[in-house]
Amino acid sequence: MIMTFGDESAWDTLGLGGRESTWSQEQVDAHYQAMGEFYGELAANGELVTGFGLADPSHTLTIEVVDGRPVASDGPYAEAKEVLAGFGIIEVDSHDRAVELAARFSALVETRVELRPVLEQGGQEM
Amino acid sequence: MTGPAEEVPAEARIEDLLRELAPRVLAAVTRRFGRFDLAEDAVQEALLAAVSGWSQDGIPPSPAAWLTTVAVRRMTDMLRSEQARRRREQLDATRRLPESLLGDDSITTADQDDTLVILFLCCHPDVQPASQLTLTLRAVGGLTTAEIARALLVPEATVGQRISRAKQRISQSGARFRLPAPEQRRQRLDVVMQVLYLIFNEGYTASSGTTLQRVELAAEAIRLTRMLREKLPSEPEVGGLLALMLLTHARRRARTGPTGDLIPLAEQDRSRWDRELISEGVALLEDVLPRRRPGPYQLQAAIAAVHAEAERFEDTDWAQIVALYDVLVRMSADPVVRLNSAVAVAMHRGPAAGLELLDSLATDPKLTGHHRLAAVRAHLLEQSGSLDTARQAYLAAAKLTTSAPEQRYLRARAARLV
Repeated sequence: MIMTFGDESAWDTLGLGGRESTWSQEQVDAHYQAMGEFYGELAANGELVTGFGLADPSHTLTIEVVDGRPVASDGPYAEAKEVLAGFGIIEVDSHDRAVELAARFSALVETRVELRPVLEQGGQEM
Repeated sequence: MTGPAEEVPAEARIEDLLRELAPRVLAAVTRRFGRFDLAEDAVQEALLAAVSGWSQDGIPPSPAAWLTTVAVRRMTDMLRSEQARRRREQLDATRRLPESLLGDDSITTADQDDTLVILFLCCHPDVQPASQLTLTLRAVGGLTTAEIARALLVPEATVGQRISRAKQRISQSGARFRLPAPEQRRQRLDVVMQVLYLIFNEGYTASSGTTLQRVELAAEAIRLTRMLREKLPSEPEVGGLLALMLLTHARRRARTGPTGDLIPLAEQDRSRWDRELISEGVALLEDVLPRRRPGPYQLQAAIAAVHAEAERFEDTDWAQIVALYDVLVRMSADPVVRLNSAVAVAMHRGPAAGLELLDSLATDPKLTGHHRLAAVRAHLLEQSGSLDTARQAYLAAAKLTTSAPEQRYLRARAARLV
């Protein structure tokens, strides 16, 4: 799983935040084009499981059950500056290939990404 | 699709389109992001942006998507500032969710009509009638706060307060985005119909102010009731309500004189009645009455239809009207219905019989101090020849009403008896 992170400005660049995009329409189009090609390549060769971008973090609802009743609060839980912005789940033959794709992903979204293996059913298998 | 080469669309076309899209966009945003309260504000701002933007640049190829994008951006902006403020002021951001969420309260809303869901939400029984009405006009009718303020003759700030109070009550009630459960739906539909009828009456007889008829609100109530009828064609009372509105609205041109003064039914020029609306109302009644599920709206519409059938006031079939009122009074606890019934009885059997019924009504707390009771008494006294008592009753009624045209009318009646 490749995860990308960002603060509010990450959504604002694409016009997905609280105002029109801070990037020019050409930049926005070019970004979507590149992302589309990347995902298209992985879909075509069978390496893509799924992937999504997430809505602006202000739409986060934190929910927990307190004394047996559900309680909600708006916004992300932590004071963290950067929150999860999107993720892609890939299924590849080797860790090396995963690192390669994560690097390309990072270049595309122009931000740090994190790569973590998904647990196999039944826990860790070697 | 409207290309840039086409001429700039007429403002009226934009407004019609926006008002049709308003509840659908609001539903789409609420479905996806929750927070009906913020979504409603955000959609309202998107509508305002569209009014100015589209009249300059033309209607975009996909108007609903345009509105949704702008509304979601506004909502995101509102959420960001709300959360920033909470962090800054270290406010508790938690809110309790209904306990039933952990029980068997799972929902499917897939096949529910969005506009109906929004309409039922606005007419939530926890909300005060004035606020239900105001929120319905904005969220379902797509009217702006300023338009509602003008139509209701109240300050814009009052409209804003009513709307935010209504939304607060709705979120506190834990109401969710779906139609009421089937076992509550009939009762909730009654509230929806009450609100629509209130909007209609608010437009028809201004409860205060100087202009007696505010046609826009009446027309808006008819538009919304038509929509409700389209969505719930098997509910005879919805058809009855629409028929009642159409048959009443048909008289609008005959109801006021050139100076805006009230003309009573007996003296109206019936050639000015709108025959098209009358035939539509009568046709509706012919559709719903045979279903044998009568209700107050169908009966009141039937009474209005009897009036519409009489070419002159003298030709009115009072026996039939009294018979309809007899059924209606048994069904409705509304004292105003009993008051109107007394008028019909007086027309049928003479003023003495009507006055007798009025005496039995005078003790009803809902009617004590109501100008209509005093006005009806005055009319009946005049008919029975007690001119001096009649004059005093007209003046008493004039003092009780807040509508300037009604006051003028009642004072004029009194003056004729001197």
